[in-house]
Amino acid sequence: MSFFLLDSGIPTAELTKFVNFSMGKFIPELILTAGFLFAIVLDLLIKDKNAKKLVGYFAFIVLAAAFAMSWDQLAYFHGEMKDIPKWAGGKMIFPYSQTLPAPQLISPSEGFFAPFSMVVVDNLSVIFKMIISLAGMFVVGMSLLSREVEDRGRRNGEFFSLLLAMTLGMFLMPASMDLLMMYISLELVSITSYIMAGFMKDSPRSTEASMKYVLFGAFSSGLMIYGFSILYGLTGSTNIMAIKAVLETQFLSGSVNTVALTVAVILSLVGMGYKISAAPFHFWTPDVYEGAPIPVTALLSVASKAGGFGLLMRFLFFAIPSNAQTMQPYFNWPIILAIMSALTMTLGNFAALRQSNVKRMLAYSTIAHAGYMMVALVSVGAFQRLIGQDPGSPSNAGITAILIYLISYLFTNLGAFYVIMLIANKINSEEIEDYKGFAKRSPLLAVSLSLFLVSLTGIPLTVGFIGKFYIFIAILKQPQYLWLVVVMALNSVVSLYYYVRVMQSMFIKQADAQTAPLLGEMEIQADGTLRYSMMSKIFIFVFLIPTILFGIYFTPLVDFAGNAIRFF
Amino acid sequence: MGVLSVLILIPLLSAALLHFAKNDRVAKLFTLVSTLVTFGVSLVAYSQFDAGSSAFQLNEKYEWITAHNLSINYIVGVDGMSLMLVLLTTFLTVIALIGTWNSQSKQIPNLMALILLLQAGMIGVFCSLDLFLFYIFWELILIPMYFIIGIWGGERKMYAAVKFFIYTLAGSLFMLVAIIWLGLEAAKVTGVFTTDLMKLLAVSRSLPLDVQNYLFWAFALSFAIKVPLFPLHTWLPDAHVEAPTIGSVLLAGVLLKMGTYGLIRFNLGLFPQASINNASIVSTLAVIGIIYGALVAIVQTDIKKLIAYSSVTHMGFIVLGIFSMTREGLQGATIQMINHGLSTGMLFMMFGMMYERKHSRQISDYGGVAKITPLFAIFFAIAMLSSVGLPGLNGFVGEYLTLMGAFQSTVLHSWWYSILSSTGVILAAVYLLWMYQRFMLGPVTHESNRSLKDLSTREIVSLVPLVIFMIWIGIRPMNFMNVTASSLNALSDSLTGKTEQPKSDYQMVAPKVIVK
Repeated sequence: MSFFLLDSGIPTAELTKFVNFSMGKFIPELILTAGFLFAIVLDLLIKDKNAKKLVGYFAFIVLAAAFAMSWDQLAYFHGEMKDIPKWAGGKMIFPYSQTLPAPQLISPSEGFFAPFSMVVVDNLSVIFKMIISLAGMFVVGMSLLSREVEDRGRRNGEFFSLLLAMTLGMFLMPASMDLLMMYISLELVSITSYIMAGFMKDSPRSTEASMKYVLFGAFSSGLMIYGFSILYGLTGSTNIMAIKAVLETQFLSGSVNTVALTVAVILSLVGMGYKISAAPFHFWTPDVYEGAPIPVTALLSVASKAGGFGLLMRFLFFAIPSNAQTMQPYFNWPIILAIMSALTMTLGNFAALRQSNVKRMLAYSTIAHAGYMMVALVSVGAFQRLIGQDPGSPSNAGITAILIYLISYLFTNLGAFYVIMLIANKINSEEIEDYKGFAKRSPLLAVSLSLFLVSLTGIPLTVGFIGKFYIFIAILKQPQYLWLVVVMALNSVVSLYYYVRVMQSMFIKQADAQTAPLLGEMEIQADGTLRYSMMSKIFIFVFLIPTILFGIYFTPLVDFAGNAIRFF
Repeated sequence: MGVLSVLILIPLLSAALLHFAKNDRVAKLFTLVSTLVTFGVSLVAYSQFDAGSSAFQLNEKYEWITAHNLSINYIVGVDGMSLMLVLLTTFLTVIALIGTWNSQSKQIPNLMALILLLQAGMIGVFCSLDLFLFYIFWELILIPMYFIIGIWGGERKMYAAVKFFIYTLAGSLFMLVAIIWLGLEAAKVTGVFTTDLMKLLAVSRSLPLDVQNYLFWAFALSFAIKVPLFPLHTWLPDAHVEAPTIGSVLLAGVLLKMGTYGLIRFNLGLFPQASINNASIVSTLAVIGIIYGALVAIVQTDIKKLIAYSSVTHMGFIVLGIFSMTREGLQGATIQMINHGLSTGMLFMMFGMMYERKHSRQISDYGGVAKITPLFAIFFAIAMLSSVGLPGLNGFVGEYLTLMGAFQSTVLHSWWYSILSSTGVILAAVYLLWMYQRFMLGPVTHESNRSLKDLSTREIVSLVPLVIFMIWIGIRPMNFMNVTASSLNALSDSLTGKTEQPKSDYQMVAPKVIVK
C-alpha cells in the first residue's frame, strides 16, 4: 500500500497516520486472516484426531471476535464520525460523495482515493459483515454437532480453517469498491466453497457436487471478468466510483456506448447472479446443496448468498449512475433484475414442488428466496439517490427490506438446516418419506422444524413474515412493479405447498416399514423419543427464539437494518 | 388490561399450559374450564357494552411497533356486530367441546391446545381494530385448523387440509398487499405508515376510485374465499367432510363468519363507493351460490357434504344481505351469521354424534333411525327446521330480513336478487327434508342400526342451549338485534346516503366504567 503512496508526494508523517488509521478500520478482516493462518498451524500441531475439534472452537472464537469488531465499527459510525481526520475527506476512509465532481474523485489530493480505493468501510458493509460472521459462528456450531463432519475427524482442521478463509472472502465482497477486488473476493469465496462442498470426498454425491460447482463457478466468473473488462474498456478505470463518474459524463454528453454497456452489465450480473443463485444461473444450486455436508449447505445458502447480495448492491448502486432529476438510473437495470427475480422465484418454487429430498427441496427454496430478495433490490433501483434521504424514501425502504430479509433468513434457514442435520444424524436420510411420524420420535425437533418452515413461508408471528412484509412495503412504493408484487404473492402460496409436505410427513403420516430405520437402537429413550444431547437441543433455541421473538416484536430488527442507510 | 385482551389471552395461555397436561381427561377438563371462563368473560364484556352507541367500545390501545416512520399498534375494540360474533365464538366453543367430549381418542392434549389457539385467533379477528393485528389473527387460525383437519380428520384429510390452507393463504396474501398499500397511502398523507383502522378509514375514502376498486377486490378475494362465495367455495366441502366433528362445528359456526365479518367491517367500511359499484357483481355471485349450493346439496349422498353445501347456500344469503346495504339487509345478515353458527353447527355436531355410533356418512346406510333413537330425531329435526327457515325458529328471521333488504335495496336496483334467492329457501326445504326423511323416517332399512344408542345426558346438555337460542331468536329476535342495531344502522345510513358520515367510523369512546 505504502508503495503507491510514496509516489503521491504526501508527507511521511501524514502517511503513517493514514496507514494506521486505515489499518484500524481493517481489523475484522485482519483478525480473520490471522485466524485462518493460525488455524492451519493449529491443525498441524494437533495430532489426535479427536482433538481436532479444537480448531473448530478456535474458529468460533475468531469469528466471534470478527463479529465483535464489526459491531464496534457500527457503533463507531453511530457516534464518533467527527474523529475521522479531515484529510480522509471527513467521511470514512475513502471519501466519496455524490456532490464531488467526477474527475476529482480519482485525484490523490482529494484524500488518497486512488491507491486505497479497494474496499470501503461503511454501515452497509459493516452490517453485511455482522450477518456473515454471525452465520459463520452458527455454522461452526452446527459443524461441531454434525455427524458428517465428525466422522471425518482427521480433516476437521482443514474444514474450519477453510471456513475462516471463506468468511474473509465474504467480508470483502460487500465492501469492494473496485472491480478487481470484487473479482478476487468472489473467487476467494468460490474456491474455498468448492473444497468445502466436496469435503466428504469419500461420498460420490459430495464429489459430484464439488465438480459441478467448479465447472459452473469457473464458467460464470469467466463471464463476469469479461464483463468487467468491457466496463474497463468503456471507462478506463476499475474503481466503481470512477466508473460511475465517467459513465455519468458519457451519459450526459450522449457519448455512451449503450450496447457495450448493456453487454458489460449483463455479463457482470452472470457472476453475481451465480453467487446468489438467481435464475438462469442457478443450475448448480440443487446438486451442490444436496451433495455438500449440511453445515456447508447452510453456510452457502445464507452467508455466501448474503455476500453475493452485498456485492450486487455495491455494483448496481455505485457503478451505475442515475439521473439526479428523474431519480432513475440512466441504465435501466431494475427491469432486468425484476425479470430475473420473477423468473428466479417461480422456477425455484415450482421445482421445489416435485422434490422428495428435504435438502434438495430447501435448495430450490433458497433459489426462490433469492428471488424475493431481488424484489427488494428492484425497489431500490428505481430510485438511486441514497445520501441524505429519510428512511421512508423508496430506495432506503428497499435497502432496509433486503437487510431485514437477510437477517430473518439467517435465523430461519440456518435453523431449518440445523434441524435437518440433527435428523440426518439419527436416520442418515433427508428423504421426506423418511420423516414420516417423526413428530413422535422427537416432538421438539418436529415442532421447531415446522416453525422454521412456517417462517420460510412467511406466515405471521414468525420473522419470515416480517421480511416479506418489508419487501412488500418497499416494492409497493414503486407502482410500476405491481406485477412483481402479484408474482411474489402467488409464489408464496406455491411455496406453502412444499413446506407443508414436510410437516405433513412428520405430524400426520405414520412411520411404516419403508421409513428409514434409526442408526442405533440405543438412541431411543424410555418415553420413545430420540436422545439428543443437551447442547444440540439448546442450539435449536439459538435459532428458534429470534425466529419467534422478532416475528412478534421487530422494532430492534428494523432499527438495526435502518443503520445501513445512515451515513450511507 | 381490558376485558377484550383477557378474552384473547385466556385461550392462548391455556394452550401453553396444556403442554404440561399428560392425562387426556385432565386436558379436556382444563380446556372446558378455560373455555367456560372465556365465555364468562365475554358475558362480562357484554354487560359492559352500551348497545345504544354505534361507536367502538371496550377499546384498548398499546404501542407495539414504532420504528422509523412506521407505527403499528395493538388496538382492540368491539361494536355490536363484532360483540355478537365474539359471544357466538365463546359460546360455540364450549358447546362443541361438550358435544364432542368422547369423539377423539388420540393426542387429546394437542387437539385441545389447537382448539384453544383457534379460539384465540377467532376472538382476535373479531376484536382487532388494527389491520396488521387483524392479519396476524387471521393467519393464526390457519395453522391450528390445518392440523385439526390433518391429524384428526377422515380418509382424505391431507388433501383437504392442504387445500384449505392454500386457498386461504392465497386470498390473504392479496389482503396483505392491500393492507400495506393502504398503510403507504396513509404515510403519504400523515408521513407515518399506519394500519390503524380509524386512520385508514379517513384515507381510503379519498383514494382515486380505481385504486379503491383494486383494494376492494384484494380484500374481497380474501373474504370471499373464507365465506365461501360461489366460484371459490370448492375447499369447503372437502374441509368439512374430512374435518373431525369439533373442527366442522367451529369451521361452519365461526370461521366462515370471519369472511362475512370482514366484508362488512373492511369492504363496506373502507371502500363504500367501490362497494356500491361492485355490489351487483358480488350479489350476483351470492345468488348463484345460493341456488348452486342448494342444487348440489340435493344430490349429495354424503350427509356431511350435504350440510357443507347447505352452508354455501346460507352464506350466500348473508352476503346478499350485506351488499343490499340496507338496514334490514345488514341486520338480517348479522342475525343470520349467528343463526348459521347455531343451526349448522348443531347439524354438524349431531351428525358427528351419529357418526361416532355408526361410522358412516352415507345417507343410504341409515333409514328409520327415528324409531331407534327418538330423542336424536327430535333434536335433529329442530336443527334441520331451523336451517330450513321455519317461522318461529331463528333461521326464518335472518332469511326474511336479508331477502327483504335485498328487495328494498337502492344499491342493487333489482327485485330479481330476492326473487331468485327465495328459491334457495324452497330448495333448502327440499334437500334438508328429503335428507331427514331418508335418514330418520320410514322403516328401519339396516338391522345393524337397531343397536344404535340414543342421546346420552352429556349430549343433551350440549344441545339444549343451542335449541334454547334457536327458539329465543326465532320468537324475540329484537333482544339480539338491539345489540347490533346502532352500529349497523349507522353503517347502512352512511352507505345509502342518509347521513354524511357514519358515527361509528370516526369515533372511539373510552372504555365504559361501570360504577356500582
